Amino acid sequence: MKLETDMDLQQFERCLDRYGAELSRWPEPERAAGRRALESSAEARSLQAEAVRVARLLDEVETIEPTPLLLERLLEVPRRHPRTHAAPETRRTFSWWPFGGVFQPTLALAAAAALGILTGSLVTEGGFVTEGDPVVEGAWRGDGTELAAGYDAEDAGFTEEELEEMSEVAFALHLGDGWGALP
Amino acid sequence: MTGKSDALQDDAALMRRIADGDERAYEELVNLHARSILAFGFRLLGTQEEAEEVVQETFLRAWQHAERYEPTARVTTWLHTIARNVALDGLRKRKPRADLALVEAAPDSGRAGAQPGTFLERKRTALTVAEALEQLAPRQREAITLVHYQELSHGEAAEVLGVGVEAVESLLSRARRKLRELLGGVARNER
Repeated sequence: MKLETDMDLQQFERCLDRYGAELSRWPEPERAAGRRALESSAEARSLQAEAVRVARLLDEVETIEPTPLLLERLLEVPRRHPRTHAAPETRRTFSWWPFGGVFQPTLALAAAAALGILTGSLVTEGGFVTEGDPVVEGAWRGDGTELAAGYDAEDAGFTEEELEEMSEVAFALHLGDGWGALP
Repeated sequence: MTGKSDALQDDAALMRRIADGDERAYEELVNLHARSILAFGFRLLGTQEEAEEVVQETFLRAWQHAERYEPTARVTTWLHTIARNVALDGLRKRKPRADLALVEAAPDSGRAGAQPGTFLERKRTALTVAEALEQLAPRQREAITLVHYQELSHGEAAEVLGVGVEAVESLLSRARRKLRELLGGVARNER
């Protein structure tokens, strides 16, 4: 149905699904058009009211609060696990060195040589021995093994059920491949 | 825009202090984010025990690897990303279970003053909603959790999920449609 605004009912509903029931969270152009739709259409108001009710229902699911014991454990972390990595800022300690321009490349060269020797010693027939924290690495890597099904496939004419199924399968494969593993 | 870049600078300063071994800065990080990360872990895994494991592991990693934080995203996004990776790791190792019991693990103590009828009614509604969330595809559930419950922006949720904003909005769209379909009747009864 065409509304007396620049946004039809279908577009209004799409925005509700995309950005939620609160118009304040919609991007600016859509927000203004959405407000006009609400002013002029009872159907638009009814769709929004339904979206608000569903959003409120979501808030009915209970959550948990940190217990004092959990907070205590969290705060004990620095004592139990002293940091072993030096922050990059500690290099400022050497700011008295007058040949900074020479010192740093020399250090880098020495580090590269050491790394080369270390790498050589770690190479086996099977490949490299890797170390590190895959979970933290994964936090920045934005692991490329993301679910592709659904994003492009929706436009390719798959049904909702097919998309859900693809999503489930992709998710299962995704976990099976070892989420967060180093590339 | 300035607000966001100020916030990023504050986050960067806090994480630099933690990287320098400042325990008070770490305490500040815990006070600011533990509640939210715990709730996120609970939404993803469904039990208090597992959620607590996620939050402990997340803060341990944040403490040990603070220098790896890059102020291109808010620290809350970084913590959510670590927590999600820890939770997915946990899910992979978890033995198969019949259900996630999202509501079972929730504490009841805060409800002591509620009328029994109202309380049971709310419990039932909470269970129905939890079941509806369970019926969403995992990625859709994650998107709803990050945006609706964790109140992350679409951009932040995209960072955590490692996808683009368009993809997050597509996930949210399908999740909300499905929830409307599943909870439409409940929503009308609640009126």
